[in-house]
Order: sequence, then C-alpha cells, then structure tokens
Amino acid sequence: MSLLELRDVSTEYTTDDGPLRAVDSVDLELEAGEILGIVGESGCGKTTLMKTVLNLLPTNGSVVGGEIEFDGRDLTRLSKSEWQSVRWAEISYIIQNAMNALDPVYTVGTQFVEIIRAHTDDSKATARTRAGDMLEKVGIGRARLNDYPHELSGGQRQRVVVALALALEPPLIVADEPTTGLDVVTQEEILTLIQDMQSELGSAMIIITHDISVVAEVADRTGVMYGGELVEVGDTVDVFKNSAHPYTMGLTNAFPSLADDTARLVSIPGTPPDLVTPPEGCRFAERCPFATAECAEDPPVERVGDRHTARCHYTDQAATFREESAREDTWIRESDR
Amino acid sequence: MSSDTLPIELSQTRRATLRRYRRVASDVFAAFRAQRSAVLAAGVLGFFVFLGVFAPLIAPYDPNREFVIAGQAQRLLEPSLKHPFGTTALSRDVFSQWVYGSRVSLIIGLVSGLAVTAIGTTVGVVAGYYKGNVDLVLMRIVDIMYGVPATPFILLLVLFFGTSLTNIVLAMVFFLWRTMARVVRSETLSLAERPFVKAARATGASDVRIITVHILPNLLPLIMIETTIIIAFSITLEAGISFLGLGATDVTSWGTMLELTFSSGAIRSAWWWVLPPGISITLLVLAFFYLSRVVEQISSPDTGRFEL
Amino acid sequence: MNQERLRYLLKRAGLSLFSLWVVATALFFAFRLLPGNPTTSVIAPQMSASARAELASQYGLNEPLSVQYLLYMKNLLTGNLGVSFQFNQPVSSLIVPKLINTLALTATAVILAYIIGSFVGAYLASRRDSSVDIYGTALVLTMYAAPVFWTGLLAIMVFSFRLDWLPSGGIHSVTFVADSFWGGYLSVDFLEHLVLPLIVTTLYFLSVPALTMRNNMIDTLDEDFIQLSRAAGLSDFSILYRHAARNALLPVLHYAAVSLGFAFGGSVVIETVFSWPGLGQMMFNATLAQDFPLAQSTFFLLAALIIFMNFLADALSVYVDPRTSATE
Repeated sequence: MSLLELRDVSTEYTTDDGPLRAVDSVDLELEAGEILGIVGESGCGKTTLMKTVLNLLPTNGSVVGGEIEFDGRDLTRLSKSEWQSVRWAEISYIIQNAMNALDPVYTVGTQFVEIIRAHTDDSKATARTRAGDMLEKVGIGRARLNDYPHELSGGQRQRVVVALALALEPPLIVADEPTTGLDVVTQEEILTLIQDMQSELGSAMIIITHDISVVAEVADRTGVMYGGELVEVGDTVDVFKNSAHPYTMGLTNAFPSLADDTARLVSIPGTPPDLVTPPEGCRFAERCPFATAECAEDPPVERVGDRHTARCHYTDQAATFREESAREDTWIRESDR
Repeated sequence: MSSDTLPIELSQTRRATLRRYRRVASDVFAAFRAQRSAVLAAGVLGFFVFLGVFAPLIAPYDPNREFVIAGQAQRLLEPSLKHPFGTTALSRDVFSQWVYGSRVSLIIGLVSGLAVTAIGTTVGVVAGYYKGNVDLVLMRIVDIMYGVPATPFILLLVLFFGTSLTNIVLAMVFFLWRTMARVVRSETLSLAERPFVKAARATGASDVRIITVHILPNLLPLIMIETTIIIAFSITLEAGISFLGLGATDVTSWGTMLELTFSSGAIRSAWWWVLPPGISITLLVLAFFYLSRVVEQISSPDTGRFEL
Repeated sequence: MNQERLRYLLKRAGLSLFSLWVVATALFFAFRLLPGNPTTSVIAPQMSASARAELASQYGLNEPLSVQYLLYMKNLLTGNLGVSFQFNQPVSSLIVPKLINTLALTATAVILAYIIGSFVGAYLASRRDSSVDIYGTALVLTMYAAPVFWTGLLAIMVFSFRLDWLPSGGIHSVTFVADSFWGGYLSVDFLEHLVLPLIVTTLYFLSVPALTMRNNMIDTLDEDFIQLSRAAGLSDFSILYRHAARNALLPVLHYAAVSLGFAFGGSVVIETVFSWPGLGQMMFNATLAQDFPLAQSTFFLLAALIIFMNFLADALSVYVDPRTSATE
C-alpha cells in the first residue's frame, strides 16, 4: 500500500487571461520511506504540484480534478480542521528560502515550541527540550533557541528549517528546492543532512528541484515534469540511464558531468508552452526532434519498465532516441539550420 | 512622433532618454484606462477643472453680488430655482461662489504640488545620490522641518507677513517639501546601488548624465504618486487655513465659504451652504488619492495596494 | 537593551535636542526681525515705563544681540516664557491648563484612532479585494479626504443644533462649577463636551493606521514565514494576529507617535471648530491679538511636543522591532 498516491490530479489558477492549468492529470505514487525527486524547468508545474499536495495553493488556485490518497484519506476532500491535524505531524515542509522563513519578531525557540505544541500535548518545557534536541541534531547548538532569526546566518537558518520539518517525525516530508541559491559546499552539507535525517527517521520525502544532479544523488525515484504534465516517472537509475521521454533525454544531456568527456553541452532550443492555451496533443512536440504528425494527439502514458512510465507515442523507439539525442545536431531545429 | 520630425537634433542618448520618459508616462496612461476607479477619479477631476475654467460661464451670478429685493436682503435663503444652492448670510449666491471656489483650490493645489515636487525632488536626488556630508546636512534640515507644526507655523508666517494668496502658497510649499525630499532620497539611495548605475559610472558617465538619464526616469512613478498626494494635501491645508480666516482676502475659496458659515453662526440651519464646499473638497481630494493609487498600482502591479 | 540600540537612541535623542535648539533659535531671530522696534516682541505698547525698564533688563534689550540670545535661552530653560500682552500674566501659568485640554482631546483621539484603525486595517486585509475591502477602503479614504473642520461643522449641525443631543462647543457648560481642578475633567459635563470633538477627530485620524495596517498585512501575509506557519498547521487566528499583525503593526506604531505630533499641529483647527480651549486655540487667538510672547511660547511648546513625539516614534521602533538599530 502506497503512502501517497495521486490519481489524475489537475490544478488550475484563475487569472485575468483565463484559467491556467498548471498541473494536468498527474498520476504518482510514493511508498513509505522512499525519496521521490520531481524535476523540471521553471514553470513546469512542480511547485504547483507541491502546493497542491500540501494544500498551500493561493486563493486563485484550486484542485479541479483527481484524488490524492494519503494514508487512507483523500486529501482533496479534507476539511480545514482535518487538514490542521495532518499538517506537520503527518506531512511537513522544508521551505525553499530560509532567509525569511522565520518570524523576525520571535526567537527561534518561541516559534519552534509554538509549532510543536500546535500538534502535541507537550508542555512548554517539554517542547523546548525537544526543540533543543532537534537543533543539536542538525548541528546548531541548543543555545540558539534564544536567538532571533536575524542573528543566525543563512546556513544556520536553513538548518533550523530542516530541524523544524523533522521535529514531529512525520511520515512524509516535502522539500522545496532545498539547495537552490546555496553555494556548492553548503549544498552538499544540507543534502547530506537531509539524507541522514531522512534515513534515521524513515520518512518518505518528495524533493522538488530543477537541479537533476541533486535528484540523481539522493532520490530513489524521479518524476520529470514538463508543461504541467508528468512526462516520465520511475526509479532514478531507470529514468536517467533508460530515459523513455525525449525531454528527459534532453535534460540529461544538458547537464554537465565532470566524469563525462563530452566536449559540448547539448541544450534544448525553444521555450515551454503557454499553460493558459496549451497546445493540442503532446506539449513537448514543438521542441521535440522526433515529433511527427501523430504527436498532435494526446500521447498515452506507456509502461516502459517496472514502475517506469513515460508519456510518449514512441516509447518503443526510446533506445534509438537516446542515441540520437546525445548528438548535438539532433537538437538543431529545421528553422535554425 | 519619431525623432525625424523633431525640430532639434538630439543625440542618441537623449533620444533614448526621451523614449524612456515617454514610455514610463505612456505605461501609466495606458493601464490607467483599465482601472475603473481611475476613470472615475479622472472624471471628478475633469469636472472640477471644467468648473474652474468655465466659471464665468457656468456661475449664474457674480459671487460677490449681494441680493436685495425690495429693500429685503436675501439672506440665508433655502435652495430654489433662482439660487440652486441657496444664499449666504451676506445675501450672496452660494452656487456661484462654489463654482468660482474650484479655481482657487485647483490653482493652489497644482502650484503647491509642482513647487513641492521641484524642490523636494532636487533635494532628495542630491542627498540620495551624493550621500556623505551633503546628505547629512540636507537630511538634518529635513529632520528639523519635521519638527515644525504646520498650521502654527503658517499662523506665524501670517502674523509676520499678512495674508495673501502668494503668502499662503509659499508657506505651504515651505512646509510640504520635506516629505517629498525624504521619499525621493530614499528611492534614489536604492537606485544608485543598482547595477545599471554602477555600469554607467564605470563607463565614465558624468553625474548629471547618470541622474537625468538613469535615475530620474526610474523615479518618475514615485514622483507622480507623491505629487498627486501632495496636491491633495495642499487643497486640504488651504481649506483649513482659509477656514481659520487667514486665507486670501481677495478671492473666495471653499475654505473661506466655510469660514463664514461658522463665524456667522449659520451652521445652525444653513445646510445648503455648509454641504457643497465640504463635499467638493472631499471629492477633489479623494480623486487625487485614487489617482495616486492607480499610478502606484501600475508602477508596481504585484503589490496592488495603496499608500498615503 | 543592548549597546547598539542604546547608541542609536542616544543619537536620535541628540538630534531631537538639536532640532529643538534650532527651532528656539529661529524663533528668537524671527521675532527680532519683526517690523518696527526689536523690543516689540516682549513689551506691550501699553506697559508702564517702570515695567518696560524691568523687562528691558530681564531680556537684556539694551545689550548686544549675543547677550540677548543667551538671556533668551536661559529664560527658556528656566521656564520663564514672558508675560502675555493680553492677560498680563506669566505665559507659563496660562499654558499649562491649555496643554492639559489639548492632550485630553488630541491624545485620546489619536490613541483611540490607532487602536480601532489597526483592527479595521487587519480586517480589511483579511478580506482583501472583496467588496468589503473595496468599499471599506473607500470609506476610510473618504474620512481622511474630508477636511476635519468640515466634518466637525456637520457634526455640530446635526447633533447639536438639529438633535440637541450634545453641546456645540467648549469644555464645560456655562453653568458648570467644578469642585476641583481634576473634578472638572472627571465630570459628566466634561464628557458630554468631549464626545463630539473626540469622535470627529478619531474618525479623521483612523485612516492612516487603517490603511497602513492593511498594506502591511497584505505584504506580511505574502512572506515566507507566514507560508511556513500555514504549512505547519498553526490556527488562522494565530497566523493572523500572533504573526502577521504583530509584524505589520510595527510601522503602524511608529506612525502613531508621528500622528500624535501632527495632531498637535492640527489642534488649531479642531479646537477652533469646537471652541475647545487648548493650545491650538490659544495660539490662534494670540496671533490675532498680536500677543507675541504667548504666540511664540505656544508655538515653541507645540514644536517641542512634535519633536518629542518623533523621538518617541524612533524609540518605539527600536523597542518593538529587534532589527531596527541594526539597519540604521
């Protein structure tokens, strides 16, 4: 039984230009203790997907289709008070930019205790001890409880945020771009910290990022999003070594590797589709070097391996595509020749 | 309007700067039309401008004319066809006075507003751009100005120099420029740190050039917002001064009308005399508030809020 | 309070004193520059020769300007504010009761306005962009756009003259006799007279805190830490008031002190409408009567109050927001 299962989930924003479908028919599943990475470029819908799962959509956003099953309950049908009990104790959240993540007018300790006590029956003293323990675990001294957020460095604040997310030992943690904006050294530290904590707790984790090196390093399973759709999902190794969707292939080629002796990076020309008026059929067709007339039809979700699916008409030719996509000239568009 | 039709030869930079200024202003006016409150506000403003400009044609009588019929002074008459807003305690037509009053309010508002903008912007930009000692001195002056109470100060000025329209305007400008200076300085400080300014300096652009070409166009939205607010405050301030009886004696403003309603004790009953000047002041000031709000919404569309 | 904050406060205090000094000096020169005899500002035309001589020595009127200035500052610091032309009494004794009257009306109004206004602002922010918000904001703006003396006139027109519910001015009825100084203020009669001007003034000053609070709340509600609080499952009440409002309130508090300063300046108009015997009205009458010592001293007192309020605003900012002194 999966811990989390998304079935045909779609989310829309109401804008002045009409409804914007940021997430379209996403199917996803996550087992307990698994780490799932969701990758994609800006605007692909991964952040919206995350907010949908966490029920943190802004006022103009709403789930317009599908179900989200978590631990036997449908999250899309929960009332506000039911959500309160789910939050943090069941599903917690590591926020992206920790610089402003803490209320500047209260000390770290006060906020920590407030969050703990919102979900447990702990007394102030117990909660404070617990908070102190968590801070020690993430490598910040207990003494920091008495400090104000602006007295901590950026890296320290990030650790506090991680500590907060883990405080109630939730079965699911969502990490939003945990390494974006950090220098390489801090990135590594935070990643290691998250990994260690996660394996110690045994929580499942969803990591949202645009950096596939993070996902490649840490995630058990990977989902690739493009234009609001989940175009490929599977075990991380499968998704990257045996990519079945041209976009994933393009992505893997676009990222530099120290070990690789490829001289040049191959990038994907073009821009993501407009989600207010999405194109008919496959959303990637416009930028796909292998697109044909058939791609004007919505591509089906094809099974290409054990727990590995891709949204493409030509998954059977994946191997050929992989070879060709490694070559730079494949990606040069007719119009640019 | 392309540069080909311009009678003067402009350098490329100047043309680019002109384009920049024009673009900022046209952005404002274009998006302006989309906001309903803006159109309403502009309508109100237009109405009063119309009233002021065409006062001699719209007002049925001379505002100072005293009506006497068969030896009976026509004091404090209720509204009628002959006197749509009734008459004052001095037998004058309220409507005519009200129409002419719009002139005074608008002129004072505009003149004060522009003067304050000119002075405040200059001080603010100089302080914010050059920083250091210049900034220190200028800001101390502004700080001191902030310690001075408005109306009492104007009272003192009147005490020394007497009442006249020019004096009142000068007094108000002297008092109001401080806000503009502070706001402009603050914005200039942050603009001066922006990469494009640093780049300009690195290429050897002169200070004057940087200020006029780079900083001022970016200050334009803020200046427009502040100016509209200053105009609104000027109108209220003038009304208050006139209400105290310190207003210009040669012209009738809305504030002066209200002063007479009070000193003559007419507020006991003459609602037709008390309401119009107050309503028009309120409407005019509101119009300017909403205009500034619209400019603010346009220049920072993500915030969608209103600041006074 | 740590070192940094203390240093900041001392610096602001120093600046305030400097401003005060500048104002006092400017007043000194301004009144000396009056057309006519430089002694006009202290000596009334109808004074006797001996009284004149006495004043001349007290103010050093026959001395060089620098000595006069020093005497002036000494007088100011010791509370010797001269003698009023109109009432022939020391200014200092005349001013104190007026100060209390002004404070009773103005300070109460501003404090009330800020308390009510903050709640209104927070409420409008929570209903952002709804019709409640749009019309509420319009209403608040209208209250600010309408000149306060006009709303005062209307209030008197309706509640005093038409309905005869409340008195039309002054702080006491003609027939009222106070049993003591403070008894006069704690009486029903005083409260009756206070109601109308208080409501009118409060409504006027309500706008700035309401709109500022609304703006700040809207900004604050977009902040990351609010997102985190939501994700962490804190109650709506907790998020709105413990976190958002507390953060949004800081600039509002700062404005409170500043508004109080403005209110002192604007007291002239409000007190005139309601015949409220306060500092503003006193200065106004003194100006009309060309009672220079009284006018000068009242002005100075008002300026001092404003400068003090500005300093208080800074002090409040430092106390309430831990980050303030760090950024100055």
